[in-house]
Amino acid sequence: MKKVFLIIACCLLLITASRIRAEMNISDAAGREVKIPGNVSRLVTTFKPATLMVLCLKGADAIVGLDNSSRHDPLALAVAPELADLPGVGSKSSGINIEAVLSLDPDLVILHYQKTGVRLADRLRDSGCPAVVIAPETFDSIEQTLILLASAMGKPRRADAVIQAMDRVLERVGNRVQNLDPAARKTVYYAGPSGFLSTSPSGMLQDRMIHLAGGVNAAHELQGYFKQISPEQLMAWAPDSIVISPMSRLPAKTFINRKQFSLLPAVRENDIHVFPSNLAPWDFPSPLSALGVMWLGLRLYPRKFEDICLVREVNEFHETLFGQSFRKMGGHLDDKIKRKDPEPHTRNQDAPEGNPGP
Amino acid sequence: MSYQKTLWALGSILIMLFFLSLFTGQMHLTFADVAAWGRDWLEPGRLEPSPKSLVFFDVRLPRSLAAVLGGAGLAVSGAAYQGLFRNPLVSPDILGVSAGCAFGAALGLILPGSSFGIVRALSFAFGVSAVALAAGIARAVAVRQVLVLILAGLVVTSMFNALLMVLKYTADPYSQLPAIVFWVMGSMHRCSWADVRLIAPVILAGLALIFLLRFKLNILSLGDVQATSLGLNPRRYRIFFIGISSLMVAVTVSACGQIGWIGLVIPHMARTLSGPDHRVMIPVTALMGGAFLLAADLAARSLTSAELPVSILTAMAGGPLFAFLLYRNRARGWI
Repeated sequence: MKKVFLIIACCLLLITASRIRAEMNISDAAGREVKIPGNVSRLVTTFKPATLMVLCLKGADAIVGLDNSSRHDPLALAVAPELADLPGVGSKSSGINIEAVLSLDPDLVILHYQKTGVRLADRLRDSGCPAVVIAPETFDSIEQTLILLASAMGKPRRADAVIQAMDRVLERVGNRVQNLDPAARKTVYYAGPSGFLSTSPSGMLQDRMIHLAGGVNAAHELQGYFKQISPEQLMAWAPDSIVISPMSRLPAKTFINRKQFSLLPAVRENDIHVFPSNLAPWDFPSPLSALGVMWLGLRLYPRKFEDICLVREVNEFHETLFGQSFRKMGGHLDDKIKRKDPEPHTRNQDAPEGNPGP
Repeated sequence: MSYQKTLWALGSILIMLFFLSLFTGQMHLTFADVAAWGRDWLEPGRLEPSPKSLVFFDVRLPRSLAAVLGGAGLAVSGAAYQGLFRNPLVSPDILGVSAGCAFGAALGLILPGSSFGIVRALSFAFGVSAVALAAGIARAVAVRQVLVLILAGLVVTSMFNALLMVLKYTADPYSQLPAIVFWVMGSMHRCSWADVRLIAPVILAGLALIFLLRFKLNILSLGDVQATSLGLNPRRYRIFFIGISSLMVAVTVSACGQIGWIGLVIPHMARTLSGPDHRVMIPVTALMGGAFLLAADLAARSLTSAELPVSILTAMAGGPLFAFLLYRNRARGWI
């Protein structure tokens, strides 16, 4: 009996020793130094972009718990259907259930960088559960996040592969639009996820995406986070092209058919598009934003991109990131939006009686 | 200042503000532009819509009209409520109409495949049913009617607020949640002619009815016993005024979102100008309410390129104004 105990004690000591030996320090997006075990095999993600990042790094099998909304996310389920059956730990907006996280005994918890996220990460660390915060908001920080997570997950090379794929796509777009005459660059209005008249000021990812695709963001003069604008402001900007976040497809339909917008160059030329795709929005901070740039460049300047087959590029990119093609995952671009035909009675539906309209 | 003079002064301020709001904004418009359209309009077929004319006729005109109508509707509803409940703390939200509207709109924003029309319709329907529910509870309790009505309003308000929180909790944090938050904040930017056509008949009819029967509010504000002894059925008139006011608030909130403080502060401001007699005070309240919301909306859309939610401005301006009125009238038995 004593021998058995001795053997068990030795085994335990070995396991602990190996864990201690393999521990490493990483610095997260809030500048916190976090001690994490060398081989992370139990991951908990707490918001959608974090889950997506882990999936890009082919870490689906390490996830043991995730945010509630990712359990119904079409992309997450296409990559790893088993995620639907994993326990949910809450969400960024309504709160993370700290007990649920601790009960999963994770090696690493990934949280968002806002104040509540940092505080929760500190609390989890004090309870003996390593937690990092990430801030994937711009192309640079997306790449930094990939490197951080990949090294935490013990596969630093995986980050290189994803970053290379992103850079390759961005470079191909850059080659085609960098020599555009400033006067020939199209003004683009981006309708954000919380409504048609909510847009991205400079400093946000979408402003950068429009710039990389060779366009000029109509709202570039604004600063800060998503901004609400007045209809009049949109008419003063008179954008050549309108791109709509897939989340705003429905409200956008009402707005683009309004008479007040009928003279916008984008509406007259029917240069209105919805960001792909049905699996995940490409206008959100994730490695897929690189595809968003290529898609936008192609929609803005189709002639410059005649040699590029978007479908093939998209399939290849998904193959690199998730190990299966876009088509196979059930992906569609879904980037069209229907406008009512400009028949006289529909065009005048919002006109007052006696309004001297056409 | 006499009653007539006050009305004339307020009316002129309102008209001046209206013109100011038609010619102020992100796009520069001049009187010459409008004069040119007028000339073109006289010769049929010559008028071509231009971006400027669309801004004038399809953005600013409906929006300013909606602001005047909404402001007047909210303020007069507040005045009617304060008279009915004989309580200066009462605002038109007290019976749950705004909470119901917000819940209905959030439901519309979350339901898959529902258009803006459905959002508005649900908002209106839930706003009106919230008040009906409060009135129903008060009727079932049937003692100390005024007090119970306010308590029932609190019950309904907190219930709909909780339901709204349930919707916020289940909403997609990246698209639906911000849409709900923006909607609840209230803004006039959604207002087109379609909205004006919806709210104008309800508000104009409501204002006319309250204007015609405004002397009854004086009697009701004396209390049920006095009103009955003066030959007035207080219950019937209470239901009448609550119904009309709630319809006006519901139709405004369903078009523009929640706009706070107007229903509470404007009646007080009107009372300091014209005294507590409802016969005088109701028209003054209507004009002041319209001018206040119009001015707030003008500031909301012109101060920056981005649009500020108008309810922030009404609360920012209304709060300190209310505090000032409280201070100034501290010894006059006004509260």
